[in-house]
Amino acid sequence: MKFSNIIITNFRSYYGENKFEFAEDESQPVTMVVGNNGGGKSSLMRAIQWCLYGEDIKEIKHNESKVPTCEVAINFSHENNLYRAHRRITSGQDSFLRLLKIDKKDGRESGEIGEPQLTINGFLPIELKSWFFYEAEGSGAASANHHNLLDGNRYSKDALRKIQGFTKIDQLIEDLDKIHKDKARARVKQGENLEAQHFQEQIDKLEIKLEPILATKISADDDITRYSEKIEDLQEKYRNTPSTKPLQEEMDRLNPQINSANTRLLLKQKKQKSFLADHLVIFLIKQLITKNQTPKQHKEGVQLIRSPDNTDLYSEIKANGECICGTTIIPGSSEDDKVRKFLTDKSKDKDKNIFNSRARGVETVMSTIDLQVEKFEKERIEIKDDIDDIESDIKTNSARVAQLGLDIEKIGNTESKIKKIRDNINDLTSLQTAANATSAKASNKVTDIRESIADLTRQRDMADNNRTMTDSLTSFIKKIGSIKEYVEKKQKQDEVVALTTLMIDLNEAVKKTSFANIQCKIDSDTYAVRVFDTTTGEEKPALNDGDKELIKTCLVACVVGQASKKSQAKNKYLAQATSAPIIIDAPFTKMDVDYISGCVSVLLEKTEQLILLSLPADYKKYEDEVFSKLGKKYAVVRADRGPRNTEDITKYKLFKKDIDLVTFDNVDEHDAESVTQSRIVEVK
Amino acid sequence: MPETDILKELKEAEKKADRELIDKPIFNELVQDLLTLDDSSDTKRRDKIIQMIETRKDLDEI
Repeated sequence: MKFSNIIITNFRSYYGENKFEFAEDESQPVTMVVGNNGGGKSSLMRAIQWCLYGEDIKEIKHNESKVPTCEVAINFSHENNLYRAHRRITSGQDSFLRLLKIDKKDGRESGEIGEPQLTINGFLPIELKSWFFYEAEGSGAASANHHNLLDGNRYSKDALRKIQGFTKIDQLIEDLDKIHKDKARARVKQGENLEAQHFQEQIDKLEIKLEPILATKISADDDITRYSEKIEDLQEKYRNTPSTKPLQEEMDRLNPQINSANTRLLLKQKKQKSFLADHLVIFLIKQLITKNQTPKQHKEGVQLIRSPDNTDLYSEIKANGECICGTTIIPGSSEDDKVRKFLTDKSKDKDKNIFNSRARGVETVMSTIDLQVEKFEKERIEIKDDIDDIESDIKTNSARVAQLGLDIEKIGNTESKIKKIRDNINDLTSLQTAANATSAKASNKVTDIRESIADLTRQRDMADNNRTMTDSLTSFIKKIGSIKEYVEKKQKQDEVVALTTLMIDLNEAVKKTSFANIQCKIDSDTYAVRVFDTTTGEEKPALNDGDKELIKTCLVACVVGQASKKSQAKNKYLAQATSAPIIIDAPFTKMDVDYISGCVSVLLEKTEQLILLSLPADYKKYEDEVFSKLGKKYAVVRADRGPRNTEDITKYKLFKKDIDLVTFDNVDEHDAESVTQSRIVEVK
Repeated sequence: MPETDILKELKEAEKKADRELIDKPIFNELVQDLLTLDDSSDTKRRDKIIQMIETRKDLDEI
């Protein structure tokens, strides 16, 4: 399938007739739709799915009283033929699908296909649609499966086996098994061998017994899948519902911290006060001493006193015109003479010794004072720094608490909603656990009964073979048995090859796309994707969101590649090739921007058309990587939503042009839920 | 572990599986034909399978 255009009329946010052309050029195969939330991007994907499969009927929210009819038409080509799929629904009735063949020359309808749904399912089987229409971040029904795509689930396994053509072989094996059993039963009956008939009767009884147990198991397995999808959906909701709880918890954690900091602050301030009071004297002495010194003396400290009998000291005193005690010395004065004589006198007289010892005393006191001052100053600074730190912590935490208060007020009371979701998850988990137990119990019974049947079958065949009968029925049973055995054995081997091929494709895609040292293996039992760090060889227990998105997108591309004609030559298992555009809602939101270009190339290797639906901010991140591949560019320039008391106009430079994206309130309160309206324009 | 180990390992596994793949042309052809039978009713489909196998005389040799 290659889409040419879609005409959407009155579907969800699309009022009136809205036509979109899709990029079909091989060199520019990407159609890009950019717009804000609620603008109709996801509705475009849902319109395509609804038109082709008629699902999601509950999602249609057109205003029935005003617009009773809603319709979507897709023009597409398939196997060199042109078609138009057209689905229409009128209020209160079931939807109606028509598939029309279109004349290539004049574009007119040239006939109608009898079984449209069956034919479309032949083009793109419904089981495979989720691989082609990929909700990378959406909340639609398929997104739950998409969310845990890498964890392995029945959905992935079944879809992949379907793509690889194995589900059809499963059916063939089942048919051959049934035929084999029926024929063996007929042979026993025909042979009138009482012993063999006895065993056959027991086998029949067991098979009758087996049927309801198998039904129970299938039903339990379906329940498990259904619950799992619902749980995943609810968990997504849970993750996306803003909760005040962590904010309140943070607030509750910060408030005591603020209180404790305030207490510590008070203590420190008290300590600071008493410290200053206790040690003020020493600071004053220091100041007093330093005050009576000349700047030079102050600078050199007690050095001048250290050698009082030095003649240089006298020169210094003379040069400064001041004695060390602060007395002014006038050259030639008696004071000058006295000082000079005193300092230059070499005799060890009593006065000089007294002076020297006094000078040393002063020196000691001053150095002690200096040390004390230094110590106290250090301590004083430490106390001050502590106070500054505490004050800063209090300020930061108080600001955070104020912000948390505002956030909590803004979010409002969603806790009851969250509790309800959590309760629902718990209820569903209990149901799932019960279903698991039922399935396991049924599975054990099925195994036991099947073993008994196999044993009885052997006994029956032994009893049956005792007689010599080489009729055509025996020959047929032998043939059927051989064919069944061959198909089973070959399928097992084929599955190994198919899965290995997929793993090789996936690793090549990841390698082309990412610089990260990662490689993947797909578990043959669960189909879960296991990721290994190639530098250490260890399995990575948890992946970051960017790597997850990268691997998921590559996996989607590779699965589509396996299904599509592009890889048909390589994929010999496929029952029927399927090709269709890949549509991705919200792509590349978490992926490393350096990987996006490679990822787009990988996607385009696997499909002929790529349709991307992005938020403006997300698109801006990867515009440079895809711009040259864009064949069609659309912007949601206007979205009317329900009254949310907001009117938002955002200016963007999209597709290298200035574009305003406008989100309006809708004033018609009667239609608060149902009336939405979008205007999407092509940007050329 | 060198970077290409898993890929190398997978390619070798694919080759090995491919080499060991059992292949009986007579059965392959029949299976391809059987897979084309597309009938929503199990009974009708199984009748067609029986018919198809019964008419294939070349299967008598197996």
